[in-house]
Amino acid sequence: MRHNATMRRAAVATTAAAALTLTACGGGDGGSGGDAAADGGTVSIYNCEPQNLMPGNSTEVCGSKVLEQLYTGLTGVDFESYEAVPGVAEEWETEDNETWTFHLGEDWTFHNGEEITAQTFVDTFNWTVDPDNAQQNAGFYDKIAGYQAVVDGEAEELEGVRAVDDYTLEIELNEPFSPLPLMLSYTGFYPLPQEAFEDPDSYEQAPIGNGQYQMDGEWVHDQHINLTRYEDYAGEEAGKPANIEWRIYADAEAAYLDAQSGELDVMDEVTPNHWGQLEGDFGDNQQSFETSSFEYLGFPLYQEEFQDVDVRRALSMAIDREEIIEQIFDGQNVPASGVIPPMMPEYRDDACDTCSFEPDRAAELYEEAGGPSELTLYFNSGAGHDAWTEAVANQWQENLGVESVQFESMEFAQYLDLHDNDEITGPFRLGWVLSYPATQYAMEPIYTTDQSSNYTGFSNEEFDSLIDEGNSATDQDAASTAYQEAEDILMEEMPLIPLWFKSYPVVTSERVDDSSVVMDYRTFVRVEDLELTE
Amino acid sequence: MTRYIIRRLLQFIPVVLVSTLIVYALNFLMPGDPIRALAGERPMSEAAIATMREQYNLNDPFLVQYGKYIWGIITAGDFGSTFSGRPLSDIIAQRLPTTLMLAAVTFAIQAVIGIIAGILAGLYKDRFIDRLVQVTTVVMVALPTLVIGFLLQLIFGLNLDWFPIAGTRDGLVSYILPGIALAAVSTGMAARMVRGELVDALQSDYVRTATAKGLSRRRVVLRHGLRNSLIPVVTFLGADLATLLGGTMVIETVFNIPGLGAMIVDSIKGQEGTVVVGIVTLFLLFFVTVNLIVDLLYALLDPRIRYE
Amino acid sequence: MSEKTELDDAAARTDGTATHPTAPASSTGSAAATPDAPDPAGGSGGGKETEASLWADAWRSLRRNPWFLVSGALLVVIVAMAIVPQLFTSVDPGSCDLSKSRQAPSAEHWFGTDIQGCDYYTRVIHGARNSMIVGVVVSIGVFAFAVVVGLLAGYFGGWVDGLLSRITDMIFAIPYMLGALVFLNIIDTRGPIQVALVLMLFTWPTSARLMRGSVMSVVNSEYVMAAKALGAGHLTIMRRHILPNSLGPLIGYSTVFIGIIIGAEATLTFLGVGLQLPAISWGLQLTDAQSYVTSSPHLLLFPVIFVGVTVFAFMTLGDAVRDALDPKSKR
Repeated sequence: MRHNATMRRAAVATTAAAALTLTACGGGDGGSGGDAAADGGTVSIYNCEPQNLMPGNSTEVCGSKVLEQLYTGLTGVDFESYEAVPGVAEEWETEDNETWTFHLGEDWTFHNGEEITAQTFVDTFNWTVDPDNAQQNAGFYDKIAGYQAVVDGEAEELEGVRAVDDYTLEIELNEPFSPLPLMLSYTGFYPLPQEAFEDPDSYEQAPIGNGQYQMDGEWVHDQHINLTRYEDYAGEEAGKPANIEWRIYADAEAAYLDAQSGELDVMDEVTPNHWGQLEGDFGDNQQSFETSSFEYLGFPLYQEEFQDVDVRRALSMAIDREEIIEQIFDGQNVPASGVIPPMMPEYRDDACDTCSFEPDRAAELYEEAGGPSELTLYFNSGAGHDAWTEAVANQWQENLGVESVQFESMEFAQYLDLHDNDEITGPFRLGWVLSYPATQYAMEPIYTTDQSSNYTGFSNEEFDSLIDEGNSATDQDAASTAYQEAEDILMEEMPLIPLWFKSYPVVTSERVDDSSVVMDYRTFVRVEDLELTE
Repeated sequence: MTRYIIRRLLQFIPVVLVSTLIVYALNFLMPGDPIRALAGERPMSEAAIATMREQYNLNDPFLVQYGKYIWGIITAGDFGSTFSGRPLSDIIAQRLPTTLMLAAVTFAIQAVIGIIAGILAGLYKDRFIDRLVQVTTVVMVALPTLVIGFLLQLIFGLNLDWFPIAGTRDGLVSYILPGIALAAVSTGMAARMVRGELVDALQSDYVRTATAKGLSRRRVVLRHGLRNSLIPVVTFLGADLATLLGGTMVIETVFNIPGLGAMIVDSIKGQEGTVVVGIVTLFLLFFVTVNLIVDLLYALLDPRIRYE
Repeated sequence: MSEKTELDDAAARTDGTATHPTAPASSTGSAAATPDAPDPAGGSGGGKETEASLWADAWRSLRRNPWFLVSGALLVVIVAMAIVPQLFTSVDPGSCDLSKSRQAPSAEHWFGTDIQGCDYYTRVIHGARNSMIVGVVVSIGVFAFAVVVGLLAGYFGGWVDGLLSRITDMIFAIPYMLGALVFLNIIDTRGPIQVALVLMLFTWPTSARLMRGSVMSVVNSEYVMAAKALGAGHLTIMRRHILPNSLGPLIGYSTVFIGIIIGAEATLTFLGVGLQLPAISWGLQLTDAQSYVTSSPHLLLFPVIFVGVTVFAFMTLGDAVRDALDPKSKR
């Protein structure tokens, strides 16, 4: 493990050095955009109004996107190999995947000059988990020893997080968990300065982080969040644009039009209705990125109609994913042949036997199993799911002889309520994006017994133990095999219909060098890497 | 007059209280736990949810919640805060000017274009201009506001590039397209009204007499006909100014204008009861005030009306 | 304004009995009022005749109005479409072929196809029903409710008026779109009837106010005084004298109102609380279409034309009816 990390660090260092020479000639902190060549210029990019700008509390994309550049976690992620790379921690080691030691770099400071030590992380982690602070990401800490005691109010601090010395952090887990370094790259684990604990509300109006960029003024709600490059960044790779301007839109449609007129440099939330015209509207200044954003239809396994696996398989095989993607998503999404995203090393394009369109086999199976003649399809409203859910319903009616499909669309709060009370009576739409690029995360939270995001009620001992096996394996190959076997069980049992992994087109203005545009697995454009041509 | 105004102002109190209670109650009845939905598919811990529910009084019975809310407003001017911890007073201070600006532009468009179109149509009854106004009116009234909004964005924002497509970065100019979209229906109605009144007035005895006396037709119309024709239009536009706030919910969303209308839509979806009620209260105060002003204005324009 | 009318009413009522009920020299010169002015000797028998002749008059003038004929014909077609769409198309609206998604109009598909690859002509024809149900149910419901509330408030005045007017104010003060948005979030199923009921709940005040106003303008007229003096009951007076003379403005408004409601249904759908799939309605079509307007403008065009024509027909009809009922326009 240690060996791996060090090697990766070396690789990153080389690219970072190259980047430094490129930017070195600029130097100055040009606040005004325009002459981009010198200092990297100012890039404007679409965003929605964040719920908050507090790492421990940020679970939605709008806020998390902004935090990406403001903070650097213990670890980072390499966006090509999807492996953990050094962040504040330069290297780390573990014997058993259960007790981990992280060695921190010594020159890290927050944007206000406060030094970052191992104690910073101890304080941050304790504060985030403390139920009094109601941080939404606290759940991500549940693998750390002592988590439950803090949540139950029996302890003040996490027993498993210790500062051995100023620059050595020890993390002890409840159980072996090999993806820990990847998990620590997630937003919820970013370090916080003392100021954040003293007055969180005013802190998040202008968060002080340790990342490549710092706040330029306060967060102007509903209008913009401006960042400027932090010239004393302790990490190896400095950001390229001198300034980042997050423009906040209430409506993605308006942002698309702004991008088209050159008002906005980068727009990465293009709604599917525009996908067919991207080339006409933007010429070469558009490209599509595959992401880990997974869309599926879950079955309420607690309902009698869906207890027969053949019914579930038939419903899956009656969906022509390719056709729906072709017509509604302009051919851009990747049909799912399993639940592990394509960018993961464990991905197989033949993991699922019943995910391809086989109407005859489906009809036969459905009839034999006595599948219901009326179905209700659930989805959350206002999120653009209407067109494809209607197409799925039409295909079920056409291919399985289902007489009628009703739709229940509702706000998310109500949707979760129905799930909690086991009141869902038909297939339901949900999605899942990898918060950190680990195959474990693509499966464990959604399908293991009694996990918080397990909405189907799926419970399979063999699956659970295979996930544990993968998590505790010290050998990468053994872990991969275990995860793949776990996926096999899912595809055999079909508690869900995998549909597709979403692709995200990104459109840019003439000013942006297209080859510098990268979107990561979380659907975030790596703004720090954008280069302007002007 | 003063007594009348005071009486009207006192009558506001029950209206505002009951209306906010209705909205608060509706919000309360919405199914699901808004706190849980904050974190999406990956739920937050039970402990954190409990802390937040406590913080926002969500565990209290309905009337206690409402009582605490109203009490907070009266005693501390505290309109509550959003689930992400932002005080509502901040939001209002920031968004109210935007919405007022949009309302002002809309009102100006309604009044100016509506009245001019109406006068032209009325003066040249059954001629080309009249037909044109009538047809345009029908189209404007017939198209739902949101469709008009989108067509305007597309034609004048994107294709012709005359106006910004969305946002408020360019100041006054940014408000023109949303203003037109929001004004469309009422402009049509106002034009129809003015036309109707003017046609009536032109046939009335006093205008005929005045024309017979040798005054020019234009002069007669502007002096006599118009003044009487404007009374119902002013009433209509005034009352409409208040309902216009409802329209901002759609148009602010379409045009990405960070005002109170867009905020209210989001808050309803997120079940942010305090935010919804706070903004609604503001709308109500605006509404009743405008109605009062309209009534007073009415007296000013029509000398036959006097308030005791 | 209400203050003034209230005061005037009271004065008129006390004065009314004192003035000469037998001399209906209508100072307002109301043409419609004249035939309706009761002949003191004729009693209630004459009332029936004059009432009939009022409607007959209106009908006569309507038949001569070309706008009425045009709008009437259009409405007959649209209503037929809503009731028996099969008359206009033999294609099943549910038979769709996704591979033909969003095709432009052609000989095979006159209006092209929609996102799901359904024949758009068929979908738009079938969309009439829900939009009309919402539009008509709301209009009729609001009309009936407004007549009752407006009549009671305007006729009796005093505390009845005070109470009803304050209730009206309270609902009126909540923008209907807001009320509907919140309310529709609460209820589970959102069919046309549910959407209609919620819209009704929040839109009646305007009509009720309008009705109250026009009732007030006739309640102290001489012929009403006369009827009262002759001991006619409240119900009789309302039915015979007040109603026919005060309905004009409300009828006119209600027809325009149908158009507004048809648009409101579309807006609610845009805000995510309108009719639910698999329902077919013009509102759903407009909402879907607006996102594809640059690539497939026909999706927007056809429902817009249908909504436009329907609203146009109702508005023109409304104007014609109002003209026919309005004494002033009969010169």
